[in-house]
Amino acid sequence: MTSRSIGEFELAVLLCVNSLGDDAYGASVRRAVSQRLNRDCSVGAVYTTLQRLEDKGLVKSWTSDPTPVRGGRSRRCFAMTGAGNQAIRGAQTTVRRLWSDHGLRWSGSQ
Amino acid sequence: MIPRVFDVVLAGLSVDSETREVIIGDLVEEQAEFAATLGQSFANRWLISQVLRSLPLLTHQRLRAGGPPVMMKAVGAGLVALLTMLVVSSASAAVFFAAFSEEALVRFAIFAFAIDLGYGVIGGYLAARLARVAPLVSSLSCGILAVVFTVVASGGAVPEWYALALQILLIPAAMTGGWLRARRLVTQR
Repeated sequence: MTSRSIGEFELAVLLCVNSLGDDAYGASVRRAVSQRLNRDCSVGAVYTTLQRLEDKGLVKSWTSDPTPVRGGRSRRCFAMTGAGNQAIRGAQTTVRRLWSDHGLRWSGSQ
Repeated sequence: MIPRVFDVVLAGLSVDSETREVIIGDLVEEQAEFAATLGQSFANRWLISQVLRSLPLLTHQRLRAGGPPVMMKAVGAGLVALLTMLVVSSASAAVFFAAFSEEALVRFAIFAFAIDLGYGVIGGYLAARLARVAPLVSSLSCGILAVVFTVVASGGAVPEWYALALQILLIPAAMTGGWLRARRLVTQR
């Protein structure tokens, strides 16, 4: 197992960071992951995962200016790196290979 | 109030001020959205649930990131604080025994108990101050060590209720000291 290998929740967070684009920050990522996994994820789970992904070099982060809607607090914004993109493709290839061995037809929409 | 309490707890786990700010900002933002759409009561319940579910994960992450040095510092500081408090409490006990009769001391045992609890709070604060990392973990270690000491060393020297109550309340007292230190860290930011 390499340091770039990612688990299911990490993959969900990484995909959401990618799909949110410029609007990827803690709360929006939490909402998107909760929606995709169909369960209310905690902010702690999302932040610890984002931190782990950043440590692995799969996402990068920066802090925005404070906003009034957050009581004058900043946002931490996230973006996927090239290594993150490779990790997603690697995970997709692995899942495809697993399903092909299982003798079932792979469907990208599932 | 809940975000403020969460802020102090996170500071007590040595979560840096920038990370605390963004996490609490996210919670405040989403709570306001829920309050506008689903009502304030739902929003408050959601916030409490988020805080309770997030704490174990963030605690685990902080302790894992710090590794053995954080735990060693916390336990070491707890031990030094406990030893300091033992010296101070022994000295004050000697003064009481010299100044009052044994009958008077038994009558005012509750007063002595309050003083011991006060030492517990000061010990927790001292442990948090000495460790410089994870104040709440340091004060917890001080509280646990104090309870262990009470169980091992108090046999017969004090009334049974006194020893039992100390064993129950020393950890909360030490954690109160750690809480005071963490709150100070938040206000110093």
